[in-house]
Amino acid sequence: MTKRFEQFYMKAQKKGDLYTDRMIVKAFPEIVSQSRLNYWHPGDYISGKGYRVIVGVAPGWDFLDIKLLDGLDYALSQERFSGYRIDVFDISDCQRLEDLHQYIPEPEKAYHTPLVGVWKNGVFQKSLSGYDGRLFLAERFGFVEEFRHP
Amino acid sequence: MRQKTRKAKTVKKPPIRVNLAGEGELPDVKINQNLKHILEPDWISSRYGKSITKIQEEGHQFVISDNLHLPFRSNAIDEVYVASISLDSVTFLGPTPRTSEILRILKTGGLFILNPLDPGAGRKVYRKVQGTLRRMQS
Repeated sequence: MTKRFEQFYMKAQKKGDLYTDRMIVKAFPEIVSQSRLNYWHPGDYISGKGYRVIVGVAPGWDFLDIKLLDGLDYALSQERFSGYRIDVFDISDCQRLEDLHQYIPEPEKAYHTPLVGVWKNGVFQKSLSGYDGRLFLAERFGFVEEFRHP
Repeated sequence: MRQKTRKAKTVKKPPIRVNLAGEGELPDVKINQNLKHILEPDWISSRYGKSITKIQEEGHQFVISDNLHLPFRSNAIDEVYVASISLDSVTFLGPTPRTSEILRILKTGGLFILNPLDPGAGRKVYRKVQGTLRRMQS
């Protein structure tokens, strides 16, 4: 598995200081563009076919989110997930809870990242967040062992 | 008559450690400060999916406050930890921990540990020296 997100995060942290997260956030869309994931902005296209997931992460300071992105990126390299689309956004673009509604219709009780929204054939199915969201994605995309806790 | 000389025993106090935005994820840091949303019945911790009751049963305590005014005295804390949260910014949950507050509550010579759970270069250690945070080898 190419750990492009982890490598990027660790390299930035090594150089950075108290506010390394700002530097990471700035470079994040570019790193996403080099992966199989898609950086999504409000108003961008949502496919009416197949399975679509959107994942809101905190790339600047949440290492578990970073690991999750590597797992998702790897999953999309596998034939069995060829019909899947995974969109990503950075929660630092959301400074109020209402801002999240531009990305996920029902994130009423969100306390943690990742914020996850699931669509099937263009129809919104459900949202999850934090521990539940991470586990859902890891199970769905076949890398749950990465997130088994002690 | 032989006189016994008594030496006063000096008992070293354990360091006072606080985990800001803490969820009980640091086993050795039992005081966790967090926002009031952690009292919501459906709240579970991000890393391990534990309820607040479960975390308390493991010996953790919670101090509920916003991040702008931490309810600790100035120069009172030996070690402050911040895991997985941005400093001096705002998220959809509100303002995140302030470095000014961290500096205020830390004792002179006290430690600030950022990203304690990150492997390698992610973890950073600072010491409060002359009113500022100075990076140490970590």
